[in-house]
Amino acid sequence: MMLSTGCVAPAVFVIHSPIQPSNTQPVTYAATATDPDGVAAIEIWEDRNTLALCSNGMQCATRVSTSRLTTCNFTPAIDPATCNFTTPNAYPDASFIGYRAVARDSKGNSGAEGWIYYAAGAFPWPNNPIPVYGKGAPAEKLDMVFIPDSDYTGNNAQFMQDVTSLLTNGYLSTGVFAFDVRTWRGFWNFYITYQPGDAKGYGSGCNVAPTNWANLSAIVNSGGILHNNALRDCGGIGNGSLFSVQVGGAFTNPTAVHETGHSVFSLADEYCCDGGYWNIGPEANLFNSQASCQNNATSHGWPTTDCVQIGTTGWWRSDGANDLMQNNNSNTNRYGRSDDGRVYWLYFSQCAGPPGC
Amino acid sequence: MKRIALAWATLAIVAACARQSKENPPGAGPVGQVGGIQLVGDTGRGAGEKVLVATYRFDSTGVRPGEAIVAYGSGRLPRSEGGAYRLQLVDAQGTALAEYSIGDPRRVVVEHQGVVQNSQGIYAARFPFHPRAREIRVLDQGGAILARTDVAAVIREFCDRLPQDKDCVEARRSR
Repeated sequence: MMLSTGCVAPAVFVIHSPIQPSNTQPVTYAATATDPDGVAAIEIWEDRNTLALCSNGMQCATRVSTSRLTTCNFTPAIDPATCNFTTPNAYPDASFIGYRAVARDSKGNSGAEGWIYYAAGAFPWPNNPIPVYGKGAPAEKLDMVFIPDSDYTGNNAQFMQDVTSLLTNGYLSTGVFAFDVRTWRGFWNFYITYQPGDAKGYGSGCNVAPTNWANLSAIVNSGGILHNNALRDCGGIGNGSLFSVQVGGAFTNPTAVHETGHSVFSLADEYCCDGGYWNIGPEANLFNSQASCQNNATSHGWPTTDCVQIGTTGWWRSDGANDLMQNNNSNTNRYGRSDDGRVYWLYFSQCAGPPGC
Repeated sequence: MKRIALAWATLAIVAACARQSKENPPGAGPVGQVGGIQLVGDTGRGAGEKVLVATYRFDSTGVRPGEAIVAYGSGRLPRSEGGAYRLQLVDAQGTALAEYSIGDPRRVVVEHQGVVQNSQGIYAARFPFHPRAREIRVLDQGGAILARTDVAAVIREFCDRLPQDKDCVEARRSR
């Protein structure tokens, strides 16, 4: 019994909102912790920094203070437990704020998430990607920037709120579709820019990058243009590409993760019969012959009979049902097992290793 | 005997738990670089990686170079994906210092339309900074140069602002 529960550290998740607060917006930190022995306490910590250029010309953050914002005690211990804290005041311009949640269970074991960093107030270098959820150095993370479409007509507050929603209710949510991002969120950095791009839609020129694309590309792997107007979205394929997604829809969140599958992981569509089909290695999710699909299945220990042709397209898949690359018009689908193979290859063989990402 | 074994096991578990709970003390400061921002006081891994970035527009008339910059960024060479174009960073003699390949940036996926060739596409080539870099080139599959960007000027401009940068010192030597 002691081995199964007594030494297990609490699992902790914490996120801030709004995701890129202005110098007049207080920030709420929301932490949750789970533990089979019950959560006895959650602490939320803050690391305040000021942004300025270092002597080497790099964007630097100098520490102002590190302090505990709050402690939530739970007597008796509960599972799950939540702890929220809203700052009494907004952060000033050029702030770089880190936060961390530490939970302790009824046996005295502790677990933590953080530090997570974001820019608060006006960012001193508006042409560069503005970190809104930073976990580490870009060379070791998948870096994605959200870009406003011109149809926001300069309404940066609305755009920032939409990004807040996309991260909170989408990429980092407990939704099934977000499993591979939320579970491995330590591999991600998210950014925002307020320089508009233009999602023109299929037949009208597709996506036009913002004028600061060179600056953004120094850091990011992918850019997502958020737009309000209805159009047929275009999704770039692979590292360095742009995709677009309409906000406010019933399936905006899974669609964004689906398009991320194309843009970040180079995953192909798996639905019939008019999707975007290709094969990319290693760890492809689509195959141009039954034999290559079966070889892949065998190498993973899956039954070769799982390989089925997508209609009569000549393309083969082996991921079964409830696959986000097969259907993104659902909040209950997630990347299939072949998709996971590609995702985990990128996470663990690239980002976590010498190649980087 | 069983009691002794049980006592040792209990001690080991308690010790392991104690180690676990002491990891990441709550007040300990964070380290390194986060999202392109260097946390001052830590010059660890990933600190100060410079990159060369050059944008290209691909359309039916060819490949046209756009902006080039030196910036701090992700200092790893992007992985090769697709074989439509090769991107090279070369020195003054035209020798490749780094290279990777990409698919056609005009290729996009449109849901329920498939993979389509858009009329235009943009791609930003990114290379780890190299003091001897002179050009970024876009080549076709056969090795023909389709576009080139002189990066010597942006390196000089960057290094004029930061003459003490160790890469800049080496860049001056290699001129």
